[in-house]
Amino acid sequence: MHKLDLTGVACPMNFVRTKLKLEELQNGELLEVILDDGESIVNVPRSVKDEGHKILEVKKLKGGAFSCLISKG
Amino acid sequence: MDLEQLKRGGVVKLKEKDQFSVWVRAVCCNMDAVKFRKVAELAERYGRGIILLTTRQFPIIPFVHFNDLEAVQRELKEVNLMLDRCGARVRNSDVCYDSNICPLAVTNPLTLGEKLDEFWQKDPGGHKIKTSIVGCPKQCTSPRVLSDIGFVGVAPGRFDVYVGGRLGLRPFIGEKMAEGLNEEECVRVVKNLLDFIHRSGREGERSADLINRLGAEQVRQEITKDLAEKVDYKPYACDTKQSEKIGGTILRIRATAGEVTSAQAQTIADIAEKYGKGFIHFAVRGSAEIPGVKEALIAEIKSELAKVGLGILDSGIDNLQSCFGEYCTNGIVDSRGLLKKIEKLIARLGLNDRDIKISAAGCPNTCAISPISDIGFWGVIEPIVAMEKCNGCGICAKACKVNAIELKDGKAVIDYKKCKWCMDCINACPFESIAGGKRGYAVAVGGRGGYSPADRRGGETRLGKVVAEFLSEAEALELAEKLLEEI
Ligand code: SF4
Ligand code: SF4
Ligand code: SF4
Repeated sequence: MHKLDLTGVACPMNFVRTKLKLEELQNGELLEVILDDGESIVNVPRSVKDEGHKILEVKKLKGGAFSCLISKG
Repeated sequence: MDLEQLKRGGVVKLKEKDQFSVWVRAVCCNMDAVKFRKVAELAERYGRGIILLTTRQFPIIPFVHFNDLEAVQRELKEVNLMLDRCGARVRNSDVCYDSNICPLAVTNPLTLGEKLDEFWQKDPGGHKIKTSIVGCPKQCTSPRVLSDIGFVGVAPGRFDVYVGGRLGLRPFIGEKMAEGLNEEECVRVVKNLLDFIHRSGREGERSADLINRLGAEQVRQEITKDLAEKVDYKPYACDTKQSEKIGGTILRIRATAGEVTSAQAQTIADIAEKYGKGFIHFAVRGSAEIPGVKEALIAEIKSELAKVGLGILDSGIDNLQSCFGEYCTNGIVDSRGLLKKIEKLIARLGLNDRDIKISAAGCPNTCAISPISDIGFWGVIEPIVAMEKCNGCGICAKACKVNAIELKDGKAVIDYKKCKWCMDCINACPFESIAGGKRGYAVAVGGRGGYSPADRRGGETRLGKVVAEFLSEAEALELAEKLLEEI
């Protein structure tokens, strides 16, 4: 599984970096992104969904950030 | 891709996969013909041959593929154009007209605009702060509602200051915070507000939120302190500012739904050079305007415009303004399509001479300024939680701007009394657990953006009253017809 830590990265860069990473993967591969609470966790999963990928899981981490598990679609 | 530029904004994702819109900065809300031609050319080459003229008074090139963003940005730079700003940032100041153009202006809004330019250049981001400056109390660009800080010219070099304005889900009419300030004091007020919001603002808060949370008095004290202390800044030089009265008239070109094709934009640029002062002004309602045109030549210009399917707004119904509508990731309805039908309706009824403003926005964010229009439409949708799918992650509740969602027993529950039908929760839920129920148009009537004693239906800035919700397009058109006949 691939992983991308985007804590401290604001919109729209967090989405752009997620998108660029997903482009490197094969369909069905998994990517875990770590996102800040607030704007990031509201916007990034949404844009990822819009691009046709699937969100499998969202977990709140200690410290307040979120882990979001994406399956490339 | 220049990722640094992306951080500053100016590129916004559209609904279709990999499609973005590029926001092109128009200094002082004007653009010379050479630059506008370039925008038209880029829209043709990289977009779909259309340009949108927005309520924020600059052109947008929609439908640029992600992979072409860098090329577009580079080509804009070749003619000294840069991207505008979007998102939670200090925005470029919006202005009405140069006092050497508008006969009503009591002071020149551009001079203050030039002085405020540095703030957005240096802004670290985090809070959306819009600024509008108008040259007289008629308030053509509606600074009291469309901007966090609105400056209204009241005497030469003097402005009243309003703070808190915004539309959208939690609309707010700006409160008057100071009267008759000079330009240096106005600059200080902006600096004070920025310092204050960065120091005391919570994530994403705007000036209206500060007023709601802390009270107008505290905000007033903070932003009007140390007014005599001069702020250091380097003013920007607006390249279309006029040094003397230019005479002639302002030719206002109709652009229904704020849309022109690349070919039309080329013609507009040609006309600005041939008959005007070589530049185009972008008005709030999306018309493209050419100042300094000789009255006697208007008939001739009209026939040149007609060749590319353009007309002018000479009296009566103002430009029908929309937003991205269904191109937008938030769009619920095809508001642009609705306006094109309303345009036909107006022609059929022969009502073009009515002095009315009509807007239609794709969603309750009302970027098309529907609530300050005589007749304003926006898209609405009813969110319905599928309990069996909801896993209680709470992201929808964070997305909801009016706190209408609460988690009860690990499930999202929507309070429909608070809901504004905006679709944010539907979009934000990572698991598609919120579906859209009924959708349609909301309609508000009687909104006003500015104040002019000379207006037939004068009166202070106010939001329209919602008279219907969830109308189908056919019902919305029917209501439009009724309202048009009544007004
Ligand atoms: S009103 Fe809604 S649909 Fe229109 S541009 Fe704004 S957010 Fe998008
Ligand atoms: S509940 Fe959903 S649709 Fe209603 S206002 Fe909140 S985010 Fe918008
Ligand atoms: S975002 Fe979706 S899954 Fe999460 S609480 Fe809201 S409805 Fe439930």
